[in-house]
Amino acid sequence: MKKILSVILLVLFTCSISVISMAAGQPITQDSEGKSSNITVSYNAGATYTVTIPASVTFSDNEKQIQRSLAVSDLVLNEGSSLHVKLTSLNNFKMVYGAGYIDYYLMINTQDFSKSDDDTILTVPAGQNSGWVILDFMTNLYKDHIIYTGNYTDTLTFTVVID
Amino acid sequence: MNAKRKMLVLLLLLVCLLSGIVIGIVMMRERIYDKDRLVAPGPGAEAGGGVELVIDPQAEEGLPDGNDTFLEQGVVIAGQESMTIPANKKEAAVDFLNPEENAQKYYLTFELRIYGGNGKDYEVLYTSGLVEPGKRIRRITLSRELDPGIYDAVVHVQPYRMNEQKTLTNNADMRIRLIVN
Repeated sequence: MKKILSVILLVLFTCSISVISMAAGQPITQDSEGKSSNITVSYNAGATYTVTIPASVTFSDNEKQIQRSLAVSDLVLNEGSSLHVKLTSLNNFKMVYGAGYIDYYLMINTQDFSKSDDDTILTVPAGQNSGWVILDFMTNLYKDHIIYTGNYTDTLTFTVVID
Repeated sequence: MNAKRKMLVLLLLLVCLLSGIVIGIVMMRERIYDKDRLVAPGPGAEAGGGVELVIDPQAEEGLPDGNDTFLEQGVVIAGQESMTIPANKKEAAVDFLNPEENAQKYYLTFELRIYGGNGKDYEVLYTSGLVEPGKRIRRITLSRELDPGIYDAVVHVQPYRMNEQKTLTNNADMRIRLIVN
């Protein structure tokens, strides 16, 4: 009985050595003496992100308040740094056509952003994978001056800065 | 005596096992039932009452179509903090990608700019043509060679609608450190 048990244990022991040697990627031969091999797995994670900006905002007589969102996702930053999104308007928050213009406003968290000194609309610190902000665009259209027919436009630039 | 005790232990184990199986089956059935019948909390909810919630038949499949201006899909742009290009060479490897999320909606163009000391004046080193969604530019030729150093730069991304007029949309400036070595 003891002999049978010994033989079984010997077979199991031999098999386990084979498994270890296969895992190391190096065959162990009769010349091997406690040899091992290593591989290095690495990934150089540079700071990257994806930003989704509103393509356009189109007001009409029936639509004087329009909501859009700005989102940052897949964010990978260096420890201690932050991603900021700043917003600037080509015509200082005026839709322009020829010499005419129509004012509009941007509200963020109930604050009138178009009158703010700070042009940052979103900050996402390292450690967060994503962030977003709701942008409420509003206009009074023809409130304070005469305008003529035409396609009044403005262009917004979203600037992404990592510091 | 020993055999009787063993038998008793085995029987107890069997009873425990069967009880477990029965309890498991009952819980699973209840879970399946609750999935189909959602009950919102309300008056008498604790007593099994409340308002029964049903699936709204007016809800539509998938994402809003392009005509839905309120839920218009924004322009997706991929960015990076820095870019490395070789010194004293016009050829450079880059990765200017128009993500697949912009499919059937937006082309992107890319412009690489380096800024002067005042932070306002800039020089354009490269301008791409329209890049289709799902495609990328990997190799560019700069307008001139650069000396080694780290430059304040911007990748200016201008989207265009994929319509006949190729209408301009809002745009993005991705500030980067341009490492030249």
